[in-house]
Amino acid sequence: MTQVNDVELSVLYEAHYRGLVKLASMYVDDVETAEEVTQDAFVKMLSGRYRIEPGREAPYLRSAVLNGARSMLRKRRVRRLHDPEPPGTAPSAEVGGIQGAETQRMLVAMRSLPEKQAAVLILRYYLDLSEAEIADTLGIARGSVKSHAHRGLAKLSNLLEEERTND
Amino acid sequence: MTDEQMDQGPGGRPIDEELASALTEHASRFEPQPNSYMRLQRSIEDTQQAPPRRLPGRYLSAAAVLFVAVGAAAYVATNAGGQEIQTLPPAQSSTTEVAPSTTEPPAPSASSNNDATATGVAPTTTEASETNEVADSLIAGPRRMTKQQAAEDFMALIRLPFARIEVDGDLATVFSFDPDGEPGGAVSELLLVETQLSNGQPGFAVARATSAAAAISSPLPGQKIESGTVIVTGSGQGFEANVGVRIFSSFDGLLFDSNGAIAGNFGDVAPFETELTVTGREYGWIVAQSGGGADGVTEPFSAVPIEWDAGLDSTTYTVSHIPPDDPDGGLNLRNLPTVDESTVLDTLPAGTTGLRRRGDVPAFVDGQVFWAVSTADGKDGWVNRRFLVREDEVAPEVLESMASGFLNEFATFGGQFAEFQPWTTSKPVVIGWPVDMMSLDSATVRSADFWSQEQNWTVPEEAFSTPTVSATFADLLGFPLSSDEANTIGYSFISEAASIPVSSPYGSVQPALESQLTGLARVHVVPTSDFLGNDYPAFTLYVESGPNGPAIVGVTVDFWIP
Repeated sequence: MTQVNDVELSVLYEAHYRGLVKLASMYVDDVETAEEVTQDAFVKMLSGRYRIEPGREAPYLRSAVLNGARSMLRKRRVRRLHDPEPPGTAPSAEVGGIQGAETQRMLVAMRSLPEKQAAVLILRYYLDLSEAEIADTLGIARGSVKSHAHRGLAKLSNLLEEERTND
Repeated sequence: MTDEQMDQGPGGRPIDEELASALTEHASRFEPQPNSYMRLQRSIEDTQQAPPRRLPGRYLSAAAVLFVAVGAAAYVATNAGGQEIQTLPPAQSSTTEVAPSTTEPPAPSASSNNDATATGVAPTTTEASETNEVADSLIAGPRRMTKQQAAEDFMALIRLPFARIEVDGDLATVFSFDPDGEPGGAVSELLLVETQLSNGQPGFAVARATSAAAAISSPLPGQKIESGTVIVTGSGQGFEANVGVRIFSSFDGLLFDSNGAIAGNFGDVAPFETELTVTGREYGWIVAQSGGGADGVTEPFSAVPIEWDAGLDSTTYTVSHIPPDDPDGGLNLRNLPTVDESTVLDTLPAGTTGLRRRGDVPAFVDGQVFWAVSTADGKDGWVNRRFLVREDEVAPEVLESMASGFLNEFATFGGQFAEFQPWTTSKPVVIGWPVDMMSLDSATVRSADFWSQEQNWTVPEEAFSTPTVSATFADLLGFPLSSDEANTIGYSFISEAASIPVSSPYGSVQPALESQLTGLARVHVVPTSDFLGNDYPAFTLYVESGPNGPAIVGVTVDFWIP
């Protein structure tokens, strides 16, 4: 097991932790779960299970958080199917207002996209990463980043349009 | 800016701007809690300092015997506080390959030669011991922080729906839905044991499931089978005395084999015996389930964990299920069983034949199972097993029997397949999808043996009320293109297929869709009677000889309005 000293951990924490919690929030709806996913990513990276080259911590952590958060989302969906949450557990209270409702609608639509498309959109439009950085994080070709973004936006637009029509 | 980016979002701005704004607004509500750093520090310290608490296999087996002999209380007492575990292994091998988790993995190698040592390092004595202990950790259900989560994820692993689970002490009672979809009665009790999560934190896992209506007496929990045949004996009851017995991988719930057995009928409990076939080295769960009659959607079941070593697998596999727009253009052969930290040694296009499993235990990394394989031209590496299918030929009579079974199965869901009444009545249609699916989606239907996944959706009436021959597969079946399930690999494949227009009239070819199912056997099912007087639906079932034997992996629909 790789031993991590406090200074190293502190540097990593300061540089990445807060942003990763927010990144996890794209898939989960409470801070506790977002932090759990983020902490798992740190522990995994620092466990020595994989050798991370110096300077590669950020893409590794981003990738681990995306995977972990998506996994949480899938499990939560399965649980909801079999054991629906009781009324009143929706996050509407903290969202609030028209702006919150629109945000929630966008988020739900975004989460329903195929996972690569959603991940590309999050990395591009939330973290503002370049195509190269996205490709590096997701382990895909730069050309694929373009096509996933293109399709993802198109699909997102259609979904929102459909919802607007249904409303 | 692309056309799509120019599209207007609901707020009237370009969709990309609205997306960026929404994501930023959402994220602004999430701030780490004040003690985050301290908790992270503690988690890492715990992981680094705490010696792995593992229970050697012989203890687990002995405890299992004890459980059978004197009951659950003794078993729990034997294991309390001493269980498990360790992170699932990145890879293990009896000969070479990847170093266990306590050492750093070998440096990635771009070599594509067939020297096994080029892909890893030989284990030391310490590592070999580690390997055995890690292996023991797999003889348990998914490990989770709470008993409830452990029980729920175990049910997902063995693919059984449930209405609810009630935890009381070390036991979790599983309740089924009744046939109307309402919560019904108890169908099994899960025994929960304490364990350790991969991050060193305490957690829980399922050690076995029990039910008097379908009990397994052999193999014993934790028993190792030294062959490719697992003989399962027990006692139970079922509709027309049928009990279903299945074996799933502990890694990802892959269904290895299933078989029916004859037990007691309608309340009479009687012994049963059946054989299951397994391959390679793996850890798995045997599940025996009553064949019906208990008025529940999920019938009573029992489950025991085992391991097996069936020796080298002589079966050859073909690369399949590669989406046509896959950016890599095929299945990546990697030097390590992970996507994140491996080097791609080669990319195997769809249709590549002659792959053989090496003797290694599969590696379960980030939710994916990797098999160590050798290619026909002698390259060794690791591949994601979801993209391999067996090369055994599926006999015509098997195809015919499956088609017939498929039709019968539809009939049990409230309609005649050939008539497909749900098209006009908007009643749910149920279709099975490929092997390897990870989660259950329908809690209201029962699974046929050859289905590992069921999808329940409603066909929109509009798809058939307009006089057009142009529709997509998704339109025809109302396939949820943007559903949760599209996020899984299997559903990505199907959703790609679903987006292809199916505008061909009855009897014509659908080249685009067929290209996605290349290499698979096809069964055409053509109804003998008209559909709604003028419509002539035709169905094509795509069947492959997968790791679980023949399985329906796709359905296409042609229809024609004259």
